[in-house]
Amino acid sequence: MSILVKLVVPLVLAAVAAPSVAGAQTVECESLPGRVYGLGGSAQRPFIARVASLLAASTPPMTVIHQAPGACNGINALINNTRMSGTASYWLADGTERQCTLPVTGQAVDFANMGNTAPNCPGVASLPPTIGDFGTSVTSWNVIVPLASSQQSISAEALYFVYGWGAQSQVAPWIDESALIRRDANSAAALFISLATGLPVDRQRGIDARTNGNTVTLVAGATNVNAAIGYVSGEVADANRARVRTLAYQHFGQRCGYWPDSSATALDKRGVRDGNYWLWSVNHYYARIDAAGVIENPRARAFIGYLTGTTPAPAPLDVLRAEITTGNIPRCAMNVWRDGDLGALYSLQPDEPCGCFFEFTATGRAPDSCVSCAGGARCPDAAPVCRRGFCEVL
Amino acid sequence: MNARLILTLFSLATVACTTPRPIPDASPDVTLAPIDTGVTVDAALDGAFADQRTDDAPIADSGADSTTSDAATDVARADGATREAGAARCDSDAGLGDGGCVLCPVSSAGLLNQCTNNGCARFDNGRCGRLLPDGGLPPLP
Repeated sequence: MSILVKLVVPLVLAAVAAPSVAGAQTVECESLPGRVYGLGGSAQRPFIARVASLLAASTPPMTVIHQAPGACNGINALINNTRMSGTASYWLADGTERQCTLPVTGQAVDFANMGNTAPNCPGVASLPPTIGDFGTSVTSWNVIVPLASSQQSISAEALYFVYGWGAQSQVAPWIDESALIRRDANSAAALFISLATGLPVDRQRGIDARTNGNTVTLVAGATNVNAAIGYVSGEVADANRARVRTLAYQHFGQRCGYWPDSSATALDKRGVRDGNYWLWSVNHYYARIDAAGVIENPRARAFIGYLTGTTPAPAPLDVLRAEITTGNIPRCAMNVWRDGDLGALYSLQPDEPCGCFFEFTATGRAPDSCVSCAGGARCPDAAPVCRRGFCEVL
Repeated sequence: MNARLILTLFSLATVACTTPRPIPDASPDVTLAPIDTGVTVDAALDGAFADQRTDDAPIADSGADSTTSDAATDVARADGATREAGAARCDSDAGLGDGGCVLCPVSSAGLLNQCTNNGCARFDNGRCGRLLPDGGLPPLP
């Protein structure tokens, strides 16, 4: 890839991906305090926005400045030393999103973020030893339709035909290519749909929405509500439940289709946490590391350390709560795990389970089987540890 | 279709996907020999099969949970279902027919088809007119 393409493509994509922030005043990014620059996918944008606003309220404040041109654009920029340019988003302590102008000479990327591992990205044969891969929470990947769609579920086989054959798929009602919303090969969402179905990512048919957010907009605004379909991260789908609906997904060999949650309307992520729902991955953050594996940039080290739990997060940031309330799942709430992108599932007993706290935080109500220990009550032998207000297993 | 059969089908639709979820463990799946090959309709009412529900019809969540409880003690056994070898919690189950959910899943496929309280909606792959006769996927055009 030529240097010109390396420099210009992210800029163009960033311009497409940049949200319109009405009435906002654009400032120089370099004027903001405690800057850390990130580039990557839009899948985790709600979580990044939440964390960024809480870090903006911390003392001293940290400003997370982020562009979301697509998952693989971030890791490629980090590996190739491609600089961010144009404008980027940052967040105020009250959660307001603003735009700032990056230096005209460009800005080095401190961290990249995406939902997939690096080798599944175009242009990345393997992760260089100078780049560290830091896994955080879990996200689902959701196939979405308009609220008024008549459809409830879809299978891996049907997804293969719908996105691979387009108007010739014969899988009604998804046979209108103008209502098939897809992403390009740099999108984690597109990569996971392709990994799950066996459909080459560059052979997907339909309209490229460019971002998770725009996928929601196009699906929700489709005139033919039954023909429209798209796919986004779970947190973007959850943030837009008033606009789109997630289909149950039935993987190859599965006898029924499941939602990421225990039902189409629940928020408990039981489908993912228990292993019924196939389409999920770990959120990855990437940064330059030294020979000892330590992140070189101090602010990137602190930021990623907060997310992985290796560095105590400054008040008022509560990473676990931020993950849960944005539709992500911390590892401590998972009953299954996998290695790699869509690797085989296996049972997991987390080091410090937090299932009760997860469900209480995600749904507003703990399951009947959970015992509260918030008032100092003694926990039963079956769940002897009081952790975040609930008796959990060791 | 007599009234008894109608009642049976209705009951199956309402109980589908409501078998309590066993707590996952880390031993290999073991296939159980069928215990009762002459499963009756009445017996089927005591359990649930993921593939015995109306296509694309969502099944409501029962609301049950097993985060910290022994949830696998009140489940029905399925012919051909799998269980972990020596797992005491799986030894008191009663049997059902082929195609049942997996009681004590360990493998990836077992976890996907485990008995669960989670609701589900089956997609009928008969809607995929281009599937090969063996159920495989043809190459792209």
